Amino acid sequence: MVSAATAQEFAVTSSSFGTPGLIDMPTGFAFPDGQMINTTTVHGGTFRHTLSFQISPRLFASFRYSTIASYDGDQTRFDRSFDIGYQILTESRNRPALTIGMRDFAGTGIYGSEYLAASKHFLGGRLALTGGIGWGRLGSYNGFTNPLSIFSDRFKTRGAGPVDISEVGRLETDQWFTGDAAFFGGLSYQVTPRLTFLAEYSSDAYVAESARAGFVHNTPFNFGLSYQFKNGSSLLAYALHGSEFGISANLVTDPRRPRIPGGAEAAPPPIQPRGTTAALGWHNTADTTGRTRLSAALRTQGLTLDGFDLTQDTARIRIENNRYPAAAQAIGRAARVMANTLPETVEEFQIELARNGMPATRSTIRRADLETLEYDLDNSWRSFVRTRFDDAHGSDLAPDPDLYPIFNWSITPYLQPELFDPDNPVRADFGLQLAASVEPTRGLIFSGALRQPLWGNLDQSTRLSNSVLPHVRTDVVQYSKQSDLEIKHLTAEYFFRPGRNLFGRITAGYLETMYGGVSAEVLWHPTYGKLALGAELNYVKQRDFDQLFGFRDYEVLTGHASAYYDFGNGYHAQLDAGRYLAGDWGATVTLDRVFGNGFKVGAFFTLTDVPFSDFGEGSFDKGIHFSIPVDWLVGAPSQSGYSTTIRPVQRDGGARLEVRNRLYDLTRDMRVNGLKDRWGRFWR
Amino acid sequence: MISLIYRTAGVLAFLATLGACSSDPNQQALVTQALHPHQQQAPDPQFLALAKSGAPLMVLSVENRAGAYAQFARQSVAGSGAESWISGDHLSLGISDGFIIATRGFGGDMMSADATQIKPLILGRREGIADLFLSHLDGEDQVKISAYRCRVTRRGARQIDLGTYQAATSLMVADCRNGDATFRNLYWVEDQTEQIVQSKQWMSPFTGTVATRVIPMQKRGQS
Repeated sequence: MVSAATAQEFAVTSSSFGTPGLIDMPTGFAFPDGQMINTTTVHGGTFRHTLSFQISPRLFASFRYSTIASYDGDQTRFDRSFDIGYQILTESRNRPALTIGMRDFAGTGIYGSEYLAASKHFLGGRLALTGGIGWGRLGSYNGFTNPLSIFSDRFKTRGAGPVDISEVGRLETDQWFTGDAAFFGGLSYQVTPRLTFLAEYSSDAYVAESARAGFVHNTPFNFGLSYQFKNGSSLLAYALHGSEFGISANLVTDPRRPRIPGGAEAAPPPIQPRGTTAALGWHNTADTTGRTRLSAALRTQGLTLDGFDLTQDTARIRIENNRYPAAAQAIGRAARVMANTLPETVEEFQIELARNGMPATRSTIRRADLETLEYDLDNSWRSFVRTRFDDAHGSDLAPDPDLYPIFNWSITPYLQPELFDPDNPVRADFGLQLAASVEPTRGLIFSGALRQPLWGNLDQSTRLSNSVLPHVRTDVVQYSKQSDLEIKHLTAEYFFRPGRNLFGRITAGYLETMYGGVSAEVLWHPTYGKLALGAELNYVKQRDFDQLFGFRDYEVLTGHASAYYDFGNGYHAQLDAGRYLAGDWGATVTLDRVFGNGFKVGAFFTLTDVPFSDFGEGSFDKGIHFSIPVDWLVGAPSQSGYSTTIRPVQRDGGARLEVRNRLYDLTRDMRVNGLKDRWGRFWR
Repeated sequence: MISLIYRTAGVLAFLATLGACSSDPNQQALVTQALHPHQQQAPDPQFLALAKSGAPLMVLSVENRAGAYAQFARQSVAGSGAESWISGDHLSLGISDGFIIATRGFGGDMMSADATQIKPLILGRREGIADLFLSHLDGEDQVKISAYRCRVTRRGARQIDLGTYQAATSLMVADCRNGDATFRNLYWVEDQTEQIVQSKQWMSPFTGTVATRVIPMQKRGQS
């Protein structure tokens, strides 16, 4: 009965490089904002896997892993590359979309090229024409003197690029937009809504592949057919330079489209009129049956009551939320439980949200507002503005007498991948993890995790570390080889509120797989505001390769001062400056896009005083990470998720301790900025 | 009663990596739901108590989910006249004079609605044009309020079999549209009581249209 209107949206085709393009050539278009595109391409002896992310409506970035057979003699070349592109002009009725982009701007330079591409739709969107100019590889066929050389002679010749593997990974600025340039162009024609024909004139001469890997370049023309599936994913088959056929599969993920919008969890309890509450005859805190009833009702909503106070007209509770990824939903459900449980004289509800024993934010809600707004059309915004938020520091609510000690355990399968070993680009271990924790009192948590690998090939790697720095991370193969049953972590943690807007953590024990010691952190994170500041100091010793109780004789004092900033619209930045595990000093810059549903995609890089030549392959530490919440995948409420960090290469410079439960991750969604981002869930 | 809760089939392998067993009931519930998607949750005792005590009942089905229907009982009526209805399998509805103004637990819920403009036309069995407002959560948990312009027309008299008696109703149709979507709601309004005894109402892009029908008191063995 419902039909989407005919809003004309043109599908953006993805090239064999996984970026907006035709077959090999880029276009001036951009992917829809926020989209992630996984592209796998095979032609001849070339295999490419590209992960692209449309960071903002105009900016995209890609990470690519390629193998080219027989590129180095009879050896296969393994190559990692990064692309970036920015749409300078969006398409309008009278002008084309225009994008400036760079391929492989910080890798070995196999695909190193820069371009300016203009694209425009015609025939109601069915036909798209593209024309552009390319440099580097994209200027290698029918090239001419670089037009930019009218500005400076430096543009005439292209820089040499990295001479050996240790120089790889730097920004090859002496190459960018230099050397000969060439024109390219092409078209895409939508034969049917699903099927698109592609043709291009390529400015890529495939010089290196021709000379080294036996590629035959017969013609500059490439042709392809792309079939688009309903979910946006597509399959491209193409003929390359008159000599090879290729196939390319694009899998599209839109982080803004969870499996079930708003989730599929059970309904919250509807608010009962006051006269009918189960609270008759309940007048003070000392009434234990009333309190038990409240606690039980909260528990059915996945909330743990850890403190309660009742006066004539105000009730205050402290809860820990173990179910809802959106803290606002926990507050909304707790408020409704209070409305259905507490005496009718109570006019004000105060809900203190706590995590790991630290109360963070107190939300004060008038009971009458709750009753009026339950079915109000604009209830989300109205309830947000009528809620008062303040810091719960100094809360005097006594712990729930029956709650402690809290004991938890779980047995879960685990998968630990290691990527980009040239002998085997995907290695992994699979096994069982036993985790247990006990919380004898608020904020004090003893916990540990044991891992038993059952199957895997992590220990078969023969790539031993060649690092000239202390081997703070590169002995990973030794850790895999020499361990069986291993202690993932075994720690005592204490979380506390040292002052107003301040959060504290002390962790001691086996902190992570490779280090044990002591870690202390303090975070300033005001109730309102976009900025948070933190400091962390760790004294750690390297653990034995068997990952049991012993230590090696490397120890280091490491720590960082951190700044976190929420730019709004889901863009977050983090700056960590300090001393890293190898004793090197420097800073890490992290940029994340966090979608309202918790899906996170980000990138980071670290520069330290370790010279690029000492760092080794990659020159400096960098990578991308993303985390996908379970509720995004399945629609059922859960606070767990999958997080992965992908580094082109893990070296010893710029390596940071991976202590669990860093404070900002715990507090972010409980402060007003985080609450506001998902306040729509208050009434869910 | 068949559960309306949206089940997720092809995620078993995925959830297998999530948790085999745990002391955390949230985790356990997730795994149980994945491994036994058709296992019934215990019926909500509140619903059973209401049904037993003679609260108004109705049956609801979701058009785009085969075999998905549930009974609802009216739990409470707020001062504003808004009624809360609950089902045995942990769903709830907000209803105002037969117009659904909120769903909970269906997946892609309608968070709230304002039907005050079309209500007098439908219940008065008059033709005309009126606005209808619905709010939903988008994929990023942001509330989106959509306004629809609805043309209300009267399609004539219809006899509806409510089990215990034939209700004489008028079929009222609301054709609603805005720039993004169009939908058609149907309301069978009993002439004698001016109440909606049967309806098809569009809830959300995800849930689609639900069909409702009241269960008259006499049918419940209370004669």
